[in-house]
Amino acid sequence: MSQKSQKLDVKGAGYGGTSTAIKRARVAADDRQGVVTGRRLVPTYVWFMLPGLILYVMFFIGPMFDAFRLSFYDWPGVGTTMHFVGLRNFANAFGDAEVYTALWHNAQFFIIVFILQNTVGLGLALLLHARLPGYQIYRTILYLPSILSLIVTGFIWELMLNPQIGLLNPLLQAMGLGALQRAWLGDPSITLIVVILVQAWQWMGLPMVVYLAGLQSIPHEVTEAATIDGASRWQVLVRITFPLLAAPFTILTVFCFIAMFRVFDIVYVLGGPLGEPDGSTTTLGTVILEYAFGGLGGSGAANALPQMSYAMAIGVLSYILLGVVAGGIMLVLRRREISFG
Amino acid sequence: MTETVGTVAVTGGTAAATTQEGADSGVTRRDFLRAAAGTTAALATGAALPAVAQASSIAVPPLVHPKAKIQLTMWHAKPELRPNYQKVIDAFHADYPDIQITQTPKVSGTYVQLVHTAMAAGELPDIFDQPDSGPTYRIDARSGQFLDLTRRAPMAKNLVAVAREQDFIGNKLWEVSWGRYTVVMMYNKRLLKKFGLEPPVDWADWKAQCKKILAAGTIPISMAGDGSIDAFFFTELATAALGRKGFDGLVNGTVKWTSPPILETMQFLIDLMPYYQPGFLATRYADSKALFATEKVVYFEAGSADVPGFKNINPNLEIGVFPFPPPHKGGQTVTLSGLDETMAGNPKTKYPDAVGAFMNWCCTPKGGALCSAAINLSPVVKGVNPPTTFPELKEIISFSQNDFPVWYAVDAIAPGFNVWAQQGQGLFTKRLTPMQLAQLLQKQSDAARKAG
Repeated sequence: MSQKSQKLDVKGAGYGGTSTAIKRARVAADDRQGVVTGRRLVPTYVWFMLPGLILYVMFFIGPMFDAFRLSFYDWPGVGTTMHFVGLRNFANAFGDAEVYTALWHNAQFFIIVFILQNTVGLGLALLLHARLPGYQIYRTILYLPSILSLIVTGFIWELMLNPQIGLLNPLLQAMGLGALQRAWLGDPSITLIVVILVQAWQWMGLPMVVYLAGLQSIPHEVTEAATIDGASRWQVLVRITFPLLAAPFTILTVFCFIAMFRVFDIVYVLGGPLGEPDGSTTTLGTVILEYAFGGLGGSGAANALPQMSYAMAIGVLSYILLGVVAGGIMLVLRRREISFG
Repeated sequence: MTETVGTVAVTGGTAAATTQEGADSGVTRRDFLRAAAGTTAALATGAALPAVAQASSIAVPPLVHPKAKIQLTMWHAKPELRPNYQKVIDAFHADYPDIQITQTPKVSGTYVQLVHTAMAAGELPDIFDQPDSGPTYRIDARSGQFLDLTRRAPMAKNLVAVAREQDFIGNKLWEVSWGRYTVVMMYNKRLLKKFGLEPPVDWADWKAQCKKILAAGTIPISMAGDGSIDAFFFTELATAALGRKGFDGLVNGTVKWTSPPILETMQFLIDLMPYYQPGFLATRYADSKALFATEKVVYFEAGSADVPGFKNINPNLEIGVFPFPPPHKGGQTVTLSGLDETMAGNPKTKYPDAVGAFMNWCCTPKGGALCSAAINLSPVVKGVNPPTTFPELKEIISFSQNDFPVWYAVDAIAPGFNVWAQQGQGLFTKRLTPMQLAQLLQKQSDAARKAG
């Protein structure tokens, strides 16, 4: 019996050959490994995946199904008394103005961060791609916010934006821009934008590196040929480079959508659990938290009756919404990838 | 083609995979990878399961008196007072040598969720500071989340009226309070003297004082607009405006939330806006306390439980206190009091009588004095003198003749309080007029009354 490892021979199948041929080749390779009992070997990658899969099922899939089940009850989250109420929680969610307000805030998160990632993020990637002196240092510095914990980011910015002890207002004053001083986290007309910009600041490292990787995979000859043919730098960017970044664009758009509709940490730190000031920074995450644990604004409101089942219903609806919309985005953008590919 | 794999030894009691050079001997790279992956999978799963089980069980620190026959566990949300709690525990152990309690302080910010989660999972400790009050407390009690202490803590008859009203539901006792906090208006004595002022006697006087203080370049009032201090401030001023008769009327439903005293209170809070610190809507409770402790403001609405914290930050802080003044001269000043550190027992505890013994001991004069001293609050056991750690506490108690319960602990008006905590900022952002907010409060109150 040979102990030699064998390369999987797919010559017969060819690239993109039939799955049957590939399966046959694999079985043959396994046979050459010395399978004498006739049992098919479990692929090695399955063993590596197993621990993570078990934990994932225990801590995500299981609770997810249980949350779905509990969303059909009227369980407050304390005590054991609960009654089956069918779709009442879902119907209430569809009529809840607070949910729609939060959804709109999440949409604003997505729109603004999407625009910034495709302008600022792409711009930074282009600058880094140009390999200007010191670009490696800049790349590291620019990526640093992305590796910071969201909670830490929130606390840092909360301190910087504090009207009494913060950095921003004194800085504006020192620059002669005292008129721009604001209660950045205390003015309902601007706080949401401020929180979104903080989130964007933390997020920007990811689009930057993804676009950079995409730029580095574009052959030089393509852009050189366009330049030789008389295309301006802007035309090369818009007509050649950006279309060839279709795949990174798809990934980043989907990630951005999911992340911005799941945003919670930074909003919780900067805006508080009730989306202060005056509910101007509520998101789906804070609304779910508020309903699940009965409102957390100060010691008094902590005793507002929790509605855990209702919160779970909102969570289920969010999950479905995110899945459907993200899937739709991917479908549409994949066609764009193929057309540009 | 053979591949050469070096010798590998996996330490820690796991399987060792060894390969040799040369063809047709030892284990191939594929075999080694399979063995390593399988071992890792088994180890990770094996390690994860007890870790999961342990995560759901109570983390118990090392036992202080391991020889005690009965070991009880206790949770509370004041890690900064751990030594104080240990004094209480040690004093109880001296009286009950067979019972040992081990405390596990938890982070206060997430304590409510922790307890609720433990309740749902059936993983509560034997004794715990139960964080709910008002309607939620009643739901917990009715659904059997607490140990029935009625016959186990007969000394609960020693509790003062306000504690008995909250700890008992009907004739059944579900929790035992350790102390009572009283909310008053605190002021910086040094700053107020600097401006040549005395505590205000009514609202017009107060506004005039604030104007003078602001003109001198100091922030008059520290306000947390996040639904904490602003909500309390509203209830205190509204109580002063309503008086005893009006307050009772609000509780029994004969006085509406849209009544003139409530609207007048809301307008007063709006009138005071220029005198709060900039960005007060984004100021959290802890930050607003820090402003007062660091002497950046003159006035701050605070409770007796806050005094030790202020002194901790700034031992030189000279704190004066006064009860909430009425809107007009001739009215009565008021204070509001609530219970703190309300201990409940796990209904599934293995030692219900031991838990009951502890709760009963807390209601004795000795236990009551130690418990209230541990948390620096006024005692809730009759005949017990308040702790003398801070002189301000004595002053607060002397002002508490016209004392009312905190609104969130009164079932009939708790819903209104909660709505204010969530919507009250709309008053300051002009999203809501006083009448609109009052109508929201009335609507919530009516709905809660109807639901019973």
